[in-house]
Amino acid sequence: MSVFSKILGMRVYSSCRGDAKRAMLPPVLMMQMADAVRRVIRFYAEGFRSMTLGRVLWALVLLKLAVIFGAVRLFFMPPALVGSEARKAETVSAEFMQRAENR
Amino acid sequence: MELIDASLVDWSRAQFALTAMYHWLFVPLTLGLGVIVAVMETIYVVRGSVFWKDVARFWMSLFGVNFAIGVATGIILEFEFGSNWSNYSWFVGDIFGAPLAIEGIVAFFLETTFLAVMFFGWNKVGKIPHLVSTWLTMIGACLSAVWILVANAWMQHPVGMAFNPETVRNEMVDFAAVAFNPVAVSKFFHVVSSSWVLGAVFVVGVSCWYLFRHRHEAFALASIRVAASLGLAATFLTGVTGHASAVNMAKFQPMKLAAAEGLYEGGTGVGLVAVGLLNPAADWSRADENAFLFRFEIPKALSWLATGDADRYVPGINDLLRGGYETEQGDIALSAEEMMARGRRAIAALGDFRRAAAVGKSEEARVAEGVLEKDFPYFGYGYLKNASDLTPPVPLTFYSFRLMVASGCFFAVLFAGVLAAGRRLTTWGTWRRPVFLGILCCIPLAYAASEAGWIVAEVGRQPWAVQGLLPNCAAVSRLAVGSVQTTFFLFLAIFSLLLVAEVGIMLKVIAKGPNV
Repeated sequence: MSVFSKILGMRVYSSCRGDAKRAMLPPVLMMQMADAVRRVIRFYAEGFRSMTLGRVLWALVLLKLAVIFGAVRLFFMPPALVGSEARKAETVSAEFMQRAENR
Repeated sequence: MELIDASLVDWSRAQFALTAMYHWLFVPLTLGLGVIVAVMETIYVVRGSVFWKDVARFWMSLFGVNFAIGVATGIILEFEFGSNWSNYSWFVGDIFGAPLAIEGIVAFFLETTFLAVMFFGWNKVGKIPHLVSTWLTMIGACLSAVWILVANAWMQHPVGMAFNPETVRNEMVDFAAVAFNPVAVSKFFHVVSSSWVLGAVFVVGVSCWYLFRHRHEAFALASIRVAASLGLAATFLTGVTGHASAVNMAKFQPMKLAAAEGLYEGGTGVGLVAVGLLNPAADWSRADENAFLFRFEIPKALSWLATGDADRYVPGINDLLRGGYETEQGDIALSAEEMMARGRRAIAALGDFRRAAAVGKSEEARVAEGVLEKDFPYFGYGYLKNASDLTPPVPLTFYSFRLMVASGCFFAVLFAGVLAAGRRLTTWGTWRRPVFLGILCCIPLAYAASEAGWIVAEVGRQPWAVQGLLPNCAAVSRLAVGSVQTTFFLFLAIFSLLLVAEVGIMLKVIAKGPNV
């Protein structure tokens, strides 16, 4: 935690009064949380860097996700039922009736 | 409104089967390898031996490759529910949504959090926190499977819901009944234990390849010891849970059991077909005395396995269509024609209810709702044209069932054999080459057996999307057949390309070998 952020946090905290002060997290705790988040990010970043097959695997995973969400979902598999809930219920009900008649 | 083309149902089913079978290439290895890695790391923590750490790390790297390349393949199935099976998705309502939502949350938070610690945390966290992360990742994967299988079990045996004719949806009224559906419980343990068998076959097979190449022999022997021990225990567990699944099948899906046995005429003290060859010229949809060209039966075994009593009655396909026999619950079974008539009455009552409710005729709506409630258990039968439509594809179900069971028995012998051989595996002379290559070839057999299990479960319950309530012909979306065919071949091309790339990565890691 830098001296600057510690002082800034103390100033913001001490400038609040009453409910606002109670609702706010103590600056030291905020700094500890920020530090924890930074450590988690560093943990992941170092982990990914150390992967021996990382690049190929992640390229494959990203390609797969792009194909699934970018192409398949958007262009090939849009939801068949659209509109309000009542409209969807009406559509399905009409389909059920029609298919029973045409069986 | 145009008629639904029968080929639309077939192509939509083919597309779903393709996606599900591709997805299922990754799931069982994740579940199976996960528990093996966790056991190996536990040995490392208990013994403090660096050797076991390296063994665990190698199999963990293969677990990671499989996990990464299998990620998101299941999402396409959920897209297909919305696009190809929209009537079904609407009809099942929150019954399906709730377990899948829980699965998403559990999978995301538990697996992604602890998976990162498991892979990146070797030199950053202590031994015990790392081991706990490994076990929690494995448990998270199993918990994901729980909710998927709860949703699937509801399709096999719908419970804990009430149909709302205003919304045309099933609404959950008893979460515990859905979550602890007997089909879900037996299916979960069967799926997980059979996945452990697959994981064990994978480890034993790859290890035998190292022995064959005279590489990493100590590593290979240690891996075989752990995997074969776990695999042997899992094979017996798979047998026990498979029996529980068969008992549930006899109770809730007797047609599936009859199809899996090729049993047309039931009776008391029915035998189990251990080995059989079906007659390809037979008419599978109705009575056929020439169903088999050859069969070897274990006397009274089917009655005993299905009901716990060697002399109890088990209905065949024709009995189920004719009705009139006494069910497990003590009722007299309805014939297919009677169930179809009640299904048509239920569908007509739904229409009457909605028409009356739309113009505010509450008394008429109430009467129609009463009829619908009484006949709703047969709702799906109203869509069937002929009684014979209730017969699932017998040959596919019959042979898949035998492939699954025979493979399971064979794997038990395989695990026992390699455990008994122990260190002698490295000193075999003439036989080492065919034996090790044979064991390596068991890996695709394990996948075939695992997929065959799902074929029995899903093909065997045809024509139903939801057992008794919704057949596929009513569940499928009204789409152009051409567009479903296009996406089928698009998926086939994408999945094939990805599979080649993925298997290539896996082989590269195996060829490089462990750092021991």
